[in-house]
Amino acid sequence: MAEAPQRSIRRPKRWDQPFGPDLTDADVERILAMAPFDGMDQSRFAPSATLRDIIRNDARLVSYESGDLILRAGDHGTSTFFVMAGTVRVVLPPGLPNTLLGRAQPKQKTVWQSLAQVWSRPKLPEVRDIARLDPKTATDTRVTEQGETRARITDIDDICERYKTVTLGETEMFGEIAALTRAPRTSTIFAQGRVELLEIRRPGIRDIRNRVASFKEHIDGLYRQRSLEAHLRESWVFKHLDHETMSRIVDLTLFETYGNFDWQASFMRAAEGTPAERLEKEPVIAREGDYPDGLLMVRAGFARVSHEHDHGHKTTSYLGTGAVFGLEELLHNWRDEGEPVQLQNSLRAVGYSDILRVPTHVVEQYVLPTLPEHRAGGSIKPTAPQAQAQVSGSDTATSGLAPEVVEFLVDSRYINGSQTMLINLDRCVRCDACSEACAVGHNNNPRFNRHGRRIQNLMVANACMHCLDPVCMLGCPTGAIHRVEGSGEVVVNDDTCIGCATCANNCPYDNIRMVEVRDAQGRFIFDEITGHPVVKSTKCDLCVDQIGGPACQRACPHDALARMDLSDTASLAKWMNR
Amino acid sequence: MKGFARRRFVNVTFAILAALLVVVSSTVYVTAINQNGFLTGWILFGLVLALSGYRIRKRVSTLPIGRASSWLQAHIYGGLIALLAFFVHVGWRIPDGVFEGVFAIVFLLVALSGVVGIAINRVFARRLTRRGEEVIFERIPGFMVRLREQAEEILLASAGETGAAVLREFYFSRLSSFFAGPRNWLGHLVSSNRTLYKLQNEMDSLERYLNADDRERLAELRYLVERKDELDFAYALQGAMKFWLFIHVPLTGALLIGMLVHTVLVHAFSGGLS
Repeated sequence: MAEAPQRSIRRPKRWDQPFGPDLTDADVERILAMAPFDGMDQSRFAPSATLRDIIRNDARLVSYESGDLILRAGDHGTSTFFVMAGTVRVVLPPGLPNTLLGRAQPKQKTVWQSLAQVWSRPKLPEVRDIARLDPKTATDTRVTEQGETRARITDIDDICERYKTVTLGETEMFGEIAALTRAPRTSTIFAQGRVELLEIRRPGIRDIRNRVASFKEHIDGLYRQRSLEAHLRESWVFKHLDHETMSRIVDLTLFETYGNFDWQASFMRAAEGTPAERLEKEPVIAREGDYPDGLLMVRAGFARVSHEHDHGHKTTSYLGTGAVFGLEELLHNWRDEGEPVQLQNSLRAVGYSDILRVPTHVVEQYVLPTLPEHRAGGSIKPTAPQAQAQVSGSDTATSGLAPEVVEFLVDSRYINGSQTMLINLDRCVRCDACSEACAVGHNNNPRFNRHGRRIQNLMVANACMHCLDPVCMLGCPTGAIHRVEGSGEVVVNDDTCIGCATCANNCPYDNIRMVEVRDAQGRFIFDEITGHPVVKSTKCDLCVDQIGGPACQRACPHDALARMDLSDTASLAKWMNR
Repeated sequence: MKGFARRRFVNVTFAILAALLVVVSSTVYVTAINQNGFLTGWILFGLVLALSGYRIRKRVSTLPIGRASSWLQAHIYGGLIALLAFFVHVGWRIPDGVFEGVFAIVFLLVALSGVVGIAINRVFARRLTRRGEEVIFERIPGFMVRLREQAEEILLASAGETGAAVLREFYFSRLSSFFAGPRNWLGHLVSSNRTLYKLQNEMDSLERYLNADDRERLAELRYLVERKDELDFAYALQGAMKFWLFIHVPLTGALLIGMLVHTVLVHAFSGGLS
C-alpha cells in the first residue's frame, strides 16, 4: 500500500495571532509616544522582538463606556492596562459586594430543603426559573460593537459615595501584579466616563519588564512592597522569621518565571509525546549536579522534581505554591558535614512556574541558623547523587506513591486540583450512587462524569477539580464563574452566566459542560433574538449550598470515591494505601 | 494496622461483642422467664428494621446523616448479627409450620443474597479494573449496536464482489447472533473465554479459503469480535453487580411484610408469659 505523502506546515510563530488585529500603524505610533513607552530605550529590545513589535502584536486598544467593569477583585487575568484616555475608578478594600460583581454568595440549604429535594425536584434535567434568566433582573450587561459582553455598574455616583475609591488617569497602569504573578485581582476597577485603555497581554508585559530596567524596577518594587513577604511566609522555612529579617531577605530575593503561562492550550498535545519528549519541553529551573546557588520557592504554578534514572528521569515528587527546593543540600553544605553536595534532583517547570530564588548566602545568614531543630533534620549522601533523593521536608512527602502515579499526575496536570475526584476502581462497584446523589442536588443532572483517565486502579473522574490555577476563570465576561469568598470553591452564578462557553473552552480537563435549560414545563428555553437555545455553564460546585459537603463522597457506600487536594501528597498516599 | 484493616478489626470486634450479647441475653432470658423466642424475636425485628434503613439513607443522599460507607458497614455487620439472632430464635432448626418455613426461607435468601452480593462486588470490581478501559453500563448497548453496524458495513463492502461467500456465510451463521446483543454472560462471570476462543479458532481456520481482500476484512471482523467480547465482559460483570440487588431488595420487602404478620400472629395467639 502506498504511503500517504508527508504533510508539512510552516512552524507556528509567536505572533501569528496578534492580540489586537485591528491595531493600526498610527495607533502604534501614538502608543509609543505616550508615557511610559516614550521613555523606554528601544535599543534594549532584541531585533526579533522590538518594543514596536510587542505593542503591535501583544497589545490592543479597548474602549469602555461609563460604568463598565474593567476588572473585578478576585478574578484571574493575564493582562496589564494603561489608561490612554479618560479615567477609571479603583474600588479600595473591602470592595464591592458580590451581587454587584455578577456573583452570588451561596446560601446553604436547611435540613428541610435538603430533604425536600428528594421529591420536589423537577422530573426533567436543567429546569430553571425563567424569571431569573431575564436580563432585566440579572446583572446589567451590554454587548459591544465587537460582540464582547461587558458587565456594568449603573449608578456610579452611588458607588463612589458609598465605597472608598481612587481615580487613575492617563498614562497610569493597573493590573500588572496579578497579570505577572497569576494571583487574583485585588481590586475592582470600572470606567468613569468613556475610557480608552491599552491592554497588553502577559508575554508582552513580561518582555518589556525583562528589557526595561526602570519598568522592571517599578514592577518588582511594587511586588516586593505589596506581596513578597506574604508569599515567602507561605513556606514553613520563612514563617518563623521576624519582620526585620524578612525585609532583608525580601530585598535580596530574585524573581524568575519559567514555562508557558498559557499552558492550558498546549498541554494535551504535549501529553501525547513520550515521557522523554514531555520532559524535554519542560524548562529546567535547577539541574541535578549543579551548585545549589539558592533556595528556590514556587511562588505560583508547579514544578517537577526528578532525578536521572538509567537513561531516563524518574519523577519523585512535584511542588506547588509555597513549596521549597534545595534546602537539604543547603543545610548539608552549611553544616559542613564532609564533602559538599550538588543538587540531588532537577527541578522543571510544569506548564509554568514563578520562582523566588533566595541566594545561598542569604539563606545561610538568615534562615538556616534559625530553622526549628525538628524541621532541620535529615541528611543526604554526597557520594550517591543519583540515589533516591530527599527534598524539602513535608513539601514533597510523596513516600507511598508509586513513581508511575506521580508521573501520571504531573504529566496530566492533575496536580492543579485542590478537590480532585479520585475513584479507587478496585472498590468502586459502578453503582452510580455518586452520580445519583449529585443529580438530586443539581437540577437532576449530575455535575460530573464517572469516567476519566486511569492509572492502575485509580481513576481521575471528569469533575471540576477546583484548581489552584483556575484557568476557567480567565476571560469570563460577566464574572459568573468565580471563587466563593472564604472557602474558595470555583462556582458559576447561573443568573449571570450568559452561556458564552469561555470557561468550558478554557478548562483543559473538559470538566465544564454547557447545557440547554428548560422552563418549569420542561420546554427548552430559546433566545428571542437568535432563536438559539439558552445555554448555561455547569460544573461541580462541591455542593457548596448543601449541608454536609460533597454529596458524591458521602454517597459512596464502598469508600471508593474521595475529593482530594493533590498538593497534599501525604494524604493522597494515605488514601491510596488504605 | 491502618486504613481498612483497622476498620475491619474494630467492626469485627464490635460484631463479636454484639453477637455474644444476643446469645447471652437470650440464654439468660430463656432461663429466667422460660419463654423461648420472645426476646430474640424482637431483637430480630429491630435489627431487620434498622438494616432496611440503609435503603432510606441511599435515597436521602443530600442529608448529612453519616457517610453511606459507614451505613453499609453497619448494614453488613448488623446483617451477620441478625443471621445469628435468627438461628438462636428458631432454635437452630428448620421451622415446621408452612408460614414459618416460607418466612425462614425468605430470611435466609435475603441473607444469602446479601453475602453473595458483597462477594460479587469485591471480586468483580477488581476483575473489571484489571481488564483496563471500560464503558459505563448504560452505554454498553449503544456501543454494541455500533460494533454490529461496523461489522455489517464490512460485509456490505464485500457484497458486490464475486466470491466472498465463505466470509458472508460465516458471518450469518456465527457472527450475526454474536453481534446481536450481549452474549456469554455466564461465561464471563466465571472467567471463561470459551466463546471468544472458539470464534477466533474458527476465523483462523477460515483464512485459507479467502483472498487478500477478504483476509483483510476478516482481520477487521476479528478486531470487532474482540471489542465486542470486551463489552460482553463489562456488561456481564457490571450487570451482575447491579442484578443481585434485584433479589436482595424485593425479598427484603417481602421479609418486612412477613415479619409484621408473624409478630401479629405470635402475639395474637400467645397465652402470655408462662
